[in-house]
Amino acid sequence: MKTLEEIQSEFCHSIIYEKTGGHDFISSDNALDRLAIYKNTIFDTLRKALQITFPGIWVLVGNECANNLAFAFCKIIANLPSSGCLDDWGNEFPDFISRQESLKKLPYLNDYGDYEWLKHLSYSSAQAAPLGIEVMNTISDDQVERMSFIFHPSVYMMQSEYALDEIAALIESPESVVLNSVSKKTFCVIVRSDSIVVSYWVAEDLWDFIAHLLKGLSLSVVYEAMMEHYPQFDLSKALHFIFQKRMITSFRFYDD
Amino acid sequence: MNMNNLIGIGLRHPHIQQVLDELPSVGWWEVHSENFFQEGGPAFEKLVSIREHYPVSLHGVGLSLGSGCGIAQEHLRRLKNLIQSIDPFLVSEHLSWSRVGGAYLPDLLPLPYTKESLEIISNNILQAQDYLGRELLIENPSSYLEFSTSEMMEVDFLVSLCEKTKAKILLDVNNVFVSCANHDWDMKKYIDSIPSNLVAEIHLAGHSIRSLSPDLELRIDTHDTTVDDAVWELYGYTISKIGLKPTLLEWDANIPALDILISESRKALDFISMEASDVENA
Repeated sequence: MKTLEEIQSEFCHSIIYEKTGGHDFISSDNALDRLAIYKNTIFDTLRKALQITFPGIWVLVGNECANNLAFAFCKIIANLPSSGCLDDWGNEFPDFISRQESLKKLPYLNDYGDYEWLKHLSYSSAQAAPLGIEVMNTISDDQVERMSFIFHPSVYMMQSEYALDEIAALIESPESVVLNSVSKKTFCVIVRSDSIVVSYWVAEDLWDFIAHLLKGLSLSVVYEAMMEHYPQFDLSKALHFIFQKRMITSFRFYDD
Repeated sequence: MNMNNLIGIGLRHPHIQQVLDELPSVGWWEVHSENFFQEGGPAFEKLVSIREHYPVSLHGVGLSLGSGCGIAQEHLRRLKNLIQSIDPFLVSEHLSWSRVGGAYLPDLLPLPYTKESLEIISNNILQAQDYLGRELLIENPSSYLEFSTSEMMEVDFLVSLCEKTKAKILLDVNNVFVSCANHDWDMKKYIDSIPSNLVAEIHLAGHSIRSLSPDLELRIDTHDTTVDDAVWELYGYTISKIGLKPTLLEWDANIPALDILISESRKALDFISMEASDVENA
């Protein structure tokens, strides 16, 4: 007699590979039709989960194409979720679609998918109370040298060779936005403010500044690096930005 | 006893804000545990707020207690964290499996009812209860096929499982109806086989009928419509046999307005009041 694990493995393969025979573990008649009920639920649930996480991909390639991509993605067992929490799943989908020959003419899809994945992560990240910039008034000059910032858990960053900002605007308002060229370097900082995930498209120097701080480097080290690469960098304006956009929740001093 | 407190509703995303704003008269709410497994975020914060006003039950769909490869420790850890945050009055899962060979299939898949399965699933439940430090409720599934290796009836399997593990039964009356109709089992015999002290919660939901071939029609547990009259009738029979239990209405697809859900759930009150009055008269 087959073990439980063997039966479950066969069941899984029957569904994912849509096997038409070898269902002797099922005693009910019309085994294929009955298995199809489970298959439809599984693929439909997975497709919906991807569509919720990557709504822009569905708009960019169209519903039918996106649904087919989702189906093809889920037909590979290695791509299936590994946990019972579907919110954890889907980060491989952008890379999968970028490898499809028919979509090579849309080279920005991978980056746009990655951008949507980061927004998804930002939305469900932990709660934390942001600090206001007035906290900087309590820091002595000596401490400022040694301080580093703790960012809100919802802060995520990415850069791209494509005009993701304009693509995002086009998806939001297809009638009012015209996309001239997709080739443009873009720098994005994502943060959740209250219940809303907000994307800030920033200049390269500000993005670098935040990226260095996010790594945990001290403000003085980051400032020196900024001055080396961007002599015109405005530290005060950058600090106002990260506090005003509710990105900082705490700070520490390097010899603490 | 306020009978209204026995009736709960499955709380789904479209209604969460409205429930917080209006605090409707509902006895309790049940949520799918996995929808709140992330570290935080608005959905989790809202659930915490709802918990300040209502009892909440956690109903899992992803622990996969029926997996031959055992249960995922990380899933248990996240469930335990959620339990500590929400302090639910009930925690339930399904007599089903979803995970095999590292892959998770998002459905409540059916099990062969064998001695080996009984042993494996008992161990999985004992491990989960031990880690969580509390009793689990196990829901009978709706199913569309049977296994050639099965050695016992589903209801006997479920009762044995709960007796071995000291888990309780979440008796889904719609699932009893659906599975019995699909496999030509005797519904009342199914209910009669369950000791009343094992049942800690009842579920009700709508289902649909699908024709697979000219001579094969299956009931599908779609949770997308009102509870079928025949299922209400079976609910009446069930509470006459096992007594009054917390009863939940689930509605997961084509979700209607909240007032329609509340109104549908209150139909259970008619049966509960009738049963309470019969008990009083007796």
